[in-house]
Amino acid sequence: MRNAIVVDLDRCIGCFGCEISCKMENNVALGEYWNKVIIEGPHGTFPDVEEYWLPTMCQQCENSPCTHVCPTGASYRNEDGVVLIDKSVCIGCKYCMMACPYGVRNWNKEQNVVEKCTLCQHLTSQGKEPACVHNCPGEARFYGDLDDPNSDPSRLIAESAPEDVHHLKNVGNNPSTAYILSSRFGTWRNGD
Amino acid sequence: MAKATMSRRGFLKTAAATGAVAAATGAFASNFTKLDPALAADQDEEIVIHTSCRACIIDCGAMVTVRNGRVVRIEGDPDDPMNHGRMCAKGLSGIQALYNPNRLKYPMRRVGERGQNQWERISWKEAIDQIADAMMELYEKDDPMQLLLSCGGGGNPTRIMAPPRFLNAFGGGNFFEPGCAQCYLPRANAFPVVNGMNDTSIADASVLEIFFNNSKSCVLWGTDPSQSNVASGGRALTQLRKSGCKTVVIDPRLTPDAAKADVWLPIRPGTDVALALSWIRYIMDKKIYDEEFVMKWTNLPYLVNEETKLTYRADELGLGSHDDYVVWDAKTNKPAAMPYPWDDKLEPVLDGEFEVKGKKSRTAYRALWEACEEYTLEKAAEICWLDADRIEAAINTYAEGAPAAGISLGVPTDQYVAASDGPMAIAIIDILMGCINRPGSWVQKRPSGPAGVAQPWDSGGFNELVPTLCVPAEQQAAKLGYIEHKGLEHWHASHIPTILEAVRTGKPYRPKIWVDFSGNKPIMMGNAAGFIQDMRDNIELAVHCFMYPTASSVELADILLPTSEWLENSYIAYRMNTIVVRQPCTHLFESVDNHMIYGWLAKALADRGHKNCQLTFQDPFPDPNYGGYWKTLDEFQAWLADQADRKVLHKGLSWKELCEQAPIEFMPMDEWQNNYEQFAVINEETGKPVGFNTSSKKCEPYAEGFTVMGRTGGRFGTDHCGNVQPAASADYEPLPHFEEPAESPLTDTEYPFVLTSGRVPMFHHGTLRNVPWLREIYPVPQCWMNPQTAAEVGVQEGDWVKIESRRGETHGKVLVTEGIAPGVVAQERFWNPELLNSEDPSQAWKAMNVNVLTKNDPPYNNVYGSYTLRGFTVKISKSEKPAGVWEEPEEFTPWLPEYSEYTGGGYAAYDAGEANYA
Repeated sequence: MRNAIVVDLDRCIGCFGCEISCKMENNVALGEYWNKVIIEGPHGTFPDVEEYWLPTMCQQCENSPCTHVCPTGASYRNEDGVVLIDKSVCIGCKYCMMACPYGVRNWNKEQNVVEKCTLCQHLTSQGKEPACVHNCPGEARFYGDLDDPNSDPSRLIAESAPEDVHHLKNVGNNPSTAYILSSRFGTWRNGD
Repeated sequence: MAKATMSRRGFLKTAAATGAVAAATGAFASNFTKLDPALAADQDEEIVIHTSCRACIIDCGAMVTVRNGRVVRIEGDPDDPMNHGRMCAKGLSGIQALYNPNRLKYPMRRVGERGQNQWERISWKEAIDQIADAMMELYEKDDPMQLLLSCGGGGNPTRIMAPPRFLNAFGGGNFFEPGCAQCYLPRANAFPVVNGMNDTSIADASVLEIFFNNSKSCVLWGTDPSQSNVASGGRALTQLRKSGCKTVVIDPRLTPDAAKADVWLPIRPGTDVALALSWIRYIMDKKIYDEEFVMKWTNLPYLVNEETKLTYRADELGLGSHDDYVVWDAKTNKPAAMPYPWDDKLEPVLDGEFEVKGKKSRTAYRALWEACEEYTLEKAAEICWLDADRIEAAINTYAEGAPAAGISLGVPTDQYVAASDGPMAIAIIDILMGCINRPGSWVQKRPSGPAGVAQPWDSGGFNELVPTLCVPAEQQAAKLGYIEHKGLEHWHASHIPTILEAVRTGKPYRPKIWVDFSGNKPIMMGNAAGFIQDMRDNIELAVHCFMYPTASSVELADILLPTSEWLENSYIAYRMNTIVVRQPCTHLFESVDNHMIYGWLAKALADRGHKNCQLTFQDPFPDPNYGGYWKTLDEFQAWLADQADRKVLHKGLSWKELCEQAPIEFMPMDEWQNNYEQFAVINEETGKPVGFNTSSKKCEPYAEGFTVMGRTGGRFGTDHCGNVQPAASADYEPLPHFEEPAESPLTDTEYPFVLTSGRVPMFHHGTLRNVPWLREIYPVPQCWMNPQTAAEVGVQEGDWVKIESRRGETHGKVLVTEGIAPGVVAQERFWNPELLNSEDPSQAWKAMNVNVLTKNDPPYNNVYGSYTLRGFTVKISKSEKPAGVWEEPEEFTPWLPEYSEYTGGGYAAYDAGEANYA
């Protein structure tokens, strides 16, 4: 089982709704983010430019550096293979934040612990979608098990041309999250 | 989740039962990472209410979770056919707007000078009595025309037709809205004059064909649904693009829709009509228009009487009846009467100039050609700062999809002097290409109209009120600026610069009492400083009704009335084949649905002997198709339900039943959609095609309806009440015309840059600047400039700049981007609620508000009186960050939600009393 979010950047319209969805659902403090939209561009010279929006969050790496470096087991992988943080065990050493290649872990200033996208376990455990997926106005975000060929993200990847399926730069950590970007809408600039 | 609802009474019970429990918690959902699924089963009382968002004007279906009386979650309603269960940043932020600690909680009366921000709490009774006393005195001793009402579009809970409805009851007065002539009214009025059908605003839900994925190409002309109505139009366009539809985006800014376009034309602000004329010329010159449609379904073959500027009627030339028009018949080489819809025996010449009874007469086609002849692609490229080859690529991208194509014209031409010429020209392009009421065309007329502005329930409904259904001819003529700008009557509005002149000079009369039902006027009005000064110095009683204090409250108001957020409000709205019901999820403080204020004022006037207002409380009301005024929320809700049921649903549902069953389909979707080629459907009574809603029953690219409107009051020869009004001082021309903007970067050496404005996805109009979630994403307005411009000004990304025009100066924070042309700068309207409590509260609207720069002096659009909010010139210099402005996320902490309990709202605090005026 490999649960993750896959984002269809062809559909992402840079509305920042997912940032708010995440904050509403998970009560993330001001100035802190579990999910952040990066504006990629514009690249080129006016008027020949390209731009896309890149929502970033925990990429659910198969070989996750965060869990490897965590000294207390606070960063762990649950029985479904989801990378999570048990905040009650976190000592706030921030090793995992340094290890994460994507900077998607968040320092909770108030609680002195690290936290991050949980794929909304409190919702998905009830069979619901993560809030950002559920609300995404562009219908750009898909959640499910990448090992299940019938899941929404697996089908999206299967329907997409192989050259349009991208991942953030892989330094051996094998991120599960995939991004779909077809050449009609832009040139992928964020890794492999 | 259970589909549930709550009546007001039911809510009271819940609140009382769970209040003690609810008071202890402050957060929505907890921050669990490990969660026992059992915990998710609610121990608390939780209901889900199917309602409708009003963070912008599009009314997306929403589901709101209320736990122990508190709103804890907002999401989209999957039963809504437009947003499909999706919800944008603005809508989700409703929760932080609702529980914003800065809410206006009680009626307040000013105790210091205007601008000093000193207030005392008063009761609803004191407030209503004071306003009604002043209104009654005005009515009896002065002139009712001196009453001034206003609203605004910005997520504004007041429906735009509500103030004119009140003026009808009051017996006179002027109504204005800072959008109106500057936003949507020109398009809503002008498109049907030309195409006899509909406008093409996506943001106002006129273009609903995008939800069926059958358009092959389209043009987004100055519209960015990805930012303006994200989860509905923005969502639909992502689907459309993904389905292969080619898109052209015409916008000075690289918006998200522009970034995803097949062709982007970054047009110079203020030159849209020159570009549109080049499209028309190209289509005529290359003969790529839909010849069959142009001949049979437009007035282009008709001969023009060059003296009257109108197409000939057959009786003018003794050729036939007044109902027939005249063509040049190639067979006989003579003019001939063309009966509706068509006479196969005739061979009309489309393009020609002839001599008719000794006088020159061109076909309307030839007149159109001559209106656009000089606008070659090269000429348009030069004017619009574009590349001719790209303009050609854009035209062909669109034309190749026709007739399954369309052009959505957004707000830009409304925002400057081309307000009528823009929609005229764009409407003509779609007509030439036959993109009218065909599958995939964007010009359609369906059983539900534009969602944003009208309802309960369209014609009649909110804007009209028996017995004062129509105002007398002289009262209409006395509306400020109406005679010159008759298009304003489309929304019963008056002309803002003429109102301000009257406020200043007292001529022809001075508005004395002003009740405003919107957010923040200086952020929306052209030349904000002039507006503030005119109103502050001259209005005798100013009342501001809103959800929280704004610059309007502090600078101008004498009385503040607390209105409720959309999560507390009641309304019913179209969503394609479905209606959604906005229903209260709670009632906080003493706030009320703003529509109650009209009812309470009408009631207080009736109690003071105002006869017309007394008539609005007749029970039963003489004509239930309109209905009277309401004294209680229950009456208002019952009126909404009755209107919806009487005119749309026909199911006999009460408000409570509507709430329980919403969203409700009033027609199967396929029946709703399948309304194509309705103009060709045979009318059983006449045996002829239904045609278009114009005098000729044809599309009228030769748009003589404007000329008739200017001379009489309406395009069919009277104003909307059937009266013929005095003519405007100059004719409205029947064909579009390009005029270089009055302040032009081509000639202005002192102010060398041209400024435009546009949306960002976090805010709607002037609202939501007090929402921490949104301000932390977009804390201050970006001033977009090209690297060349930045080098010229001597600034870098992140620097603060001072922007100056001939009206004033303000600030912005530089974003250096290749997404805008050299010489063009763009900045969104903004204001800073955090400065209201500073030493200089005026800085709240001065510090970074582009409307300090905009222009409300002539020239105006002749039909609509629109002034210049975009496409004027500015100069820019490096500056400092204005003092006191919040920029860091933590600075917004004071605005984080403070949960408060259900109170019953102002309804529990005010009793309008019984109405018995026998």
